Amino acid sequence: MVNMHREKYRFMIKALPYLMILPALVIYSIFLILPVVENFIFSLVSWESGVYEGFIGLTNYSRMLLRDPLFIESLVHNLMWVGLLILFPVVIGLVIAATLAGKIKGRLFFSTIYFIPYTIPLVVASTAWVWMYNPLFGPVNIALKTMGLSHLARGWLGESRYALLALSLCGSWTHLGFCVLIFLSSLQGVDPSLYEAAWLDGASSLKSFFYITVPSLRRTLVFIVLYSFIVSMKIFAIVWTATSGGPSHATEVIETYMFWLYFREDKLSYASTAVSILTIIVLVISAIAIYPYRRTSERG
Amino acid sequence: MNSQKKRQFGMLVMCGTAVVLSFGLLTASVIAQEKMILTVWDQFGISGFSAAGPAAEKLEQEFEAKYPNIEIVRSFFSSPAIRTVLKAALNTGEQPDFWYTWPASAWLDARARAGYLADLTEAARENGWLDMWPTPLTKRCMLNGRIYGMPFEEDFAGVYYNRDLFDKLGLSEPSTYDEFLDICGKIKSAGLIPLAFGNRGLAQYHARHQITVFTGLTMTRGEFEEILFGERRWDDPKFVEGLRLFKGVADRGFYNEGFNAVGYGEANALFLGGRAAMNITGTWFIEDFVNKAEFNLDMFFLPPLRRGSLPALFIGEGSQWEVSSRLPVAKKEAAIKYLDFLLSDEALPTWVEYGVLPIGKKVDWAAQDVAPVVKEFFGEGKKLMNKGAGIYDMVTSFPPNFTYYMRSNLGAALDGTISIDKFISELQREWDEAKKMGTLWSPGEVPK
Amino acid sequence: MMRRKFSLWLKLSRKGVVYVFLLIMVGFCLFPLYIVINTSLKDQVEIFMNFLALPRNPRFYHYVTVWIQSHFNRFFLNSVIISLPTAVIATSVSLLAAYPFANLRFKGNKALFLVFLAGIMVSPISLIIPSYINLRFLRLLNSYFGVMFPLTAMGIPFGVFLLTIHCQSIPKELMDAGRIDGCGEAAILLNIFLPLMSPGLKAVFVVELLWAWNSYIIPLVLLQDHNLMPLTVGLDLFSGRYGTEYPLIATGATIAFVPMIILFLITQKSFKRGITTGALK
Repeated sequence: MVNMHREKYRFMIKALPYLMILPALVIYSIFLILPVVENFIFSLVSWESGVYEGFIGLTNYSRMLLRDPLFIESLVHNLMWVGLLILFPVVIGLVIAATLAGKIKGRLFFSTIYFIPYTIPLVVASTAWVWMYNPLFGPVNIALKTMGLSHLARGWLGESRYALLALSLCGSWTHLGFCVLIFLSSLQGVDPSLYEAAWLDGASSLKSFFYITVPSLRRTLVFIVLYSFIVSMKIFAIVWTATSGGPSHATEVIETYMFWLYFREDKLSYASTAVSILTIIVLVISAIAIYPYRRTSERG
Repeated sequence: MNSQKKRQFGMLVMCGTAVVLSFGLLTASVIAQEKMILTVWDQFGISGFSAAGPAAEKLEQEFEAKYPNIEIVRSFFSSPAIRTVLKAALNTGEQPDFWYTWPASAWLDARARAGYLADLTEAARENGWLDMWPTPLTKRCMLNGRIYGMPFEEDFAGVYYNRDLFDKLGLSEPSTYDEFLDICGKIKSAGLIPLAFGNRGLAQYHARHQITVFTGLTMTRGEFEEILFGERRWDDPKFVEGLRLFKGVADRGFYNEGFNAVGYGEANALFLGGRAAMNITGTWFIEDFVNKAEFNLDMFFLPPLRRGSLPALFIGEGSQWEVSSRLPVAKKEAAIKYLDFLLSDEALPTWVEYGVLPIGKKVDWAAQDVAPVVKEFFGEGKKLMNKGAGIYDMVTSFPPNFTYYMRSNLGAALDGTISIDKFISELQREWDEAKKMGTLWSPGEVPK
Repeated sequence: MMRRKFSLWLKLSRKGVVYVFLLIMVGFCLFPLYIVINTSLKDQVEIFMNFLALPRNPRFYHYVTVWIQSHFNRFFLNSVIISLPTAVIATSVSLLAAYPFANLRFKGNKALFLVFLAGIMVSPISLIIPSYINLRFLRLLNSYFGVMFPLTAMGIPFGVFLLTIHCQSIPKELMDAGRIDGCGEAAILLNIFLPLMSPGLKAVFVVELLWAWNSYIIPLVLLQDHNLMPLTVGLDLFSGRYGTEYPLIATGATIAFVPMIILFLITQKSFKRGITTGALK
């Protein structure tokens, strides 16, 4: 009897972790993993204009990667977005955080204000920035004109050369606060005696930034860059509501391209291929980036 | 309470719940059987959202009063969104019973080819719907000689203008294209924007609406139909000439600067706000323009290149009513009944009262209680169409790949990012591809 | 003397430059929002006269129009109905899952954790086509649940990730001390574990709420009934075909974003603490 009780207890102890994970796992598998897997399956069949024509293997993939310049262009735009997001919010965010980590009044105020754009719905963010860029009354052009730079004023979102750059500024706007927040708290964890020592050695603040701040932030940097990468690869709402990929595909990203493929051209399996490729790329690159830090997820 | 009693009580509660639940379900299913529910998706909005909302709500109630065993369940979408949502719904079999969507022609054909649409040819014959529409519009809802949809609103496009501004500058409606350009020049030198134009974002329709209007100056409907259904090509000199007229207006700076960066709605706001004197667009905005313009709103059709020929006309039909092919017979009949009611003379006053302007040969615009500009646009538009003027709109008449190319690159052709020649040859390439895929619009002949 | 004065001046001016820089960034962050709110208080004519100037006499009636006539009251309610349960469910199931990941040893924990982690990288757009089919099968299409579950699923990876790290950061000794004092497991969880977890929980809750509130593509495609649509999609309806009225769009947009700013400002202290603990581990 006692034995049975102990058996039961032991079983409970063994089953407990799984039972606790179960609710999350059920919701997660049904509504996230299953659709992702289905996407892969759809990408292996031919299903266009409502007509199902069976398994066709990797034909969709080869067609998309080898013979679809628009897809490649979209992918390149996603990657450019990554670059721009690293260039502006990550770098500026680091500078701001380093500034705030020093002796600054109103640190809380600043870091709070910078975070606000992160809380804005992307649909609203893009509306606001579209108005910023309006060629007729938008503040950007007005500012340029009042500064005597009227030759630079233009329809920013309407010119192929500048549209992606201009739009990514909206993405940067929503992303900056997050970078500042993470960098700042990471910096506050840096041992202040390091800076004191550097100061005693007569190092300039620029030097100590590069020799103390940046190295001690290595992990955080990897995290932020990876996060920026994921955000950029997922970008949809901003582009969709602002330019829908225009002008002439200058801001087309995989998501908007997929949206067109599925909802207008009715190419279900081909659209699934586009998002499957996207998912693979993000997973692989993230895995590579996380790999050296894999110990973090383990219990020391 | 001891444990046995507790258990008994529990059983009792459970049985009670079960009885109540099953009874409830039973009643619900009986009620459901008695009332036939017809799900309808449209774009009319709800009251407070758009002018058309209350009309649709009122007609729904009137119909339900007339046929108490049919219940209409309406959902509405914005005009771009309905295409998206309906597509997903049709692909997965979760479509409504009856809907009002766009576009027609090649897009409707695609829905019909996939077997999503009920054939309405017989119903149209029986209910006399065929007599209601001009042939070009019926054709837009057809595939290979069968009718799969019913048009509803008539779309013409022309030039709206701000009469107050014209008067102030001493201008009057032009009667030739050169006069039109002259007027544009005068407005521009007065420091105003001659023409509002917005070509950014999802709704890059404005450019394609206008290319239709400009091509209407250089091509007859017959010639245009030869491109659509025959062997004529897109590098046809007459089409290229139309495109060059359009680009000429852009090159002269008669549009607001940075038109590729302005949204369609923003362009309309420029016009309604009195900043731009004219706006080349269509009747689909007429209710809004009449309601919102704080100036004397008037219109003319883009005048011909040579005096005496017909002005340019754009023909479209807005959206059409379609019935799902997946309905049981009784439900299909109910849907047809509702459609007939919406198209009937009985419903017409309600539509017009709330500012929805349905088409049909029998609507006498002169007799309607509407703004003069509405009478002119529809009345004159219809006369011109009957004289043979007008070509099909270039937003909705072509297959998806062709439309996608044109949508994405017309703006670039206008601002010179890509050359006209390249644009035209790419158009032709997309057209050939669509032909190969069999996705061209193929209406066949209108049944008698 | 001279030199010291100079260096003081240099120091001050350097400080000045820093503050100017920070204030410019404040402007960068707030200006677009100023535009939206400012526009919502003007009428159309005023916008064309001067887009940037403050309204001559603020017109709050746009808010009444949009709230009542344009059904933003309904959209607002829907946003609450969708995002609040999503945040509650996502946070609680994530907590439940995070505890064993952090504190219990079991087979496959690493693999399972990675499976959860991978979800962060999945783009919502890759869910819409299959979800539509699945939800139809589950009879959840066009219902609040049909949006809540996918949103919850998308929130779970982040919740599990952050809460696991928070769980790990709680010193085992504290809980052991509780055990030595003779507290039951339940009491330990309730009195020691949960209070220590609270910044993490608050942060996860706020982020989940934020994401659900701001979600666009999922409700756009998975909801058809306008009575169920949240603010983001309602805004889309609003600026679709009839998108000519800047003040009304701006008003709708303001209604959509202000609640989340308020939420963030209220919870910011624990939010910041919670989110940074996780990210830095």
